[in-house]
Amino acid sequence: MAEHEPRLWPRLWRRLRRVGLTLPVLASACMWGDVLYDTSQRALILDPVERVRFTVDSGEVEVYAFNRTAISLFYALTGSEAEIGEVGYEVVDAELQAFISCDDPEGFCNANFNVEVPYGTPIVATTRNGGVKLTGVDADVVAVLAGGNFEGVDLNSPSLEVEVEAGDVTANLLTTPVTVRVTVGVGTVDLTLPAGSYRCELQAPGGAVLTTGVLCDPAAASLVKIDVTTGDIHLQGAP
Amino acid sequence: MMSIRPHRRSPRLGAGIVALLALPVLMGPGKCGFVLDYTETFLITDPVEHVVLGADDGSIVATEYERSATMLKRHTFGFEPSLGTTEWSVEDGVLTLEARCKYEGNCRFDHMFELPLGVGFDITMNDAQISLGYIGGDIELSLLTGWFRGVRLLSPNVSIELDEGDVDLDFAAPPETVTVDVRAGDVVVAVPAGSYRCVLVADAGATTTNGVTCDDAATAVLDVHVQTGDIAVTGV
Repeated sequence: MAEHEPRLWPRLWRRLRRVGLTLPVLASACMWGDVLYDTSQRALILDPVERVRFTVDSGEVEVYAFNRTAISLFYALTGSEAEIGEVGYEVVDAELQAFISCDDPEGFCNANFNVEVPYGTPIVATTRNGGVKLTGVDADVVAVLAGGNFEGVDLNSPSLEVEVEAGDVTANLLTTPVTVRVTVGVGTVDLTLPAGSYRCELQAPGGAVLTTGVLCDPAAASLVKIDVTTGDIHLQGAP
Repeated sequence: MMSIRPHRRSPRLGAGIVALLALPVLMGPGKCGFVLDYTETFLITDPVEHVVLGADDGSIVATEYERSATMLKRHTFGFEPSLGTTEWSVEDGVLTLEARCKYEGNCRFDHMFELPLGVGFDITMNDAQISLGYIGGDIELSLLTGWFRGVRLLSPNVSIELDEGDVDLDFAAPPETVTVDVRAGDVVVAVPAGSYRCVLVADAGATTTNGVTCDDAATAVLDVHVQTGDIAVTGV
């Protein structure tokens, strides 16, 4: 009795069909997964920019101002696609807007921005979960932080407005500002100004107020207004 | 008596084999294999006075300010079999970059520069989007398609050849010579108000000047030729 030769092609075809049927099932299962990001982007913005505005649900903002042209914007993004909303930057009406929105600011969604700007660039920053550090900025600053520290290094801003729900404010200004307004819920304020006279409005009902090296004069031109609900205020004049 | 039916190849299998064999042809040459997508960043401490860049497709964005070293970032995207030469070197103050693609359209090379003041550019590319800001050296550019945008330029001499695409030049200081030759596209030039020798030719388009004095005796030259498209020159 003759034996059948093994039929290679029909067997292979059957296996391929089996695999072919299995693949869509596996692929649809994969679609239930998530995409995780750990990436960064750098951009050079040549457009004339009158202001930089950060709107950050989760992440740090760091700005360095010095004698340069154009704006270098870098951000490092981590998170899951399911939790990351919009992230990126755009120039709208001469305002550079850098942003990340997260479904849950405490979740797996974070972008740390590091931006170099020319002198004379005002900064507006709003963060829900993350700190703000500004170095060398010589234009107006408005920062509103829900959770995170504000740090200002060698600032020359005429106007500095900082509002922090929970976090510390540390800043030194190299030139006498016109106005400094700091409001903190829970945290400490450590502010160093050029020695001189200031109109001081310092309130810390749940902490101590310490003033050294500045003359608080109700007739002074510069206003320093600090309100801390729970925490201390330390206002000092630079030597 | 046993009979064995002749073996017949499945027509569906045959079609599958044909499709597989045709895949490389359908995809186009150079597209089989890995896709490479990576970024390199270099801090170049050698003195750079001029950048000579020859690449196929991609983009350039650059600015200049008072700094010592050159920052170069290059993003490469392409199918591995398609990528050609990608290299750079500095010699005698000239930063030379080359980025080639073996098959047209299969690769992109995006460049970013932060340079010391006064560096010039000599660029030759096929399809590119180019933004140069605050450049103080001369610019010479040859492009097939794409666009060129100059922001707050301080360059004494600018020469642009572009087959198809727009040119937008914004000078922060009066240039000595501006030469633009575009086959199809619009050209916009903004220069500091003053006198210029205007050679503005739009074969099939409109030419407008506003705020500049066109004077044949002027030393600064604005020489713009567009076959199809408009020319607009504004003195600021």
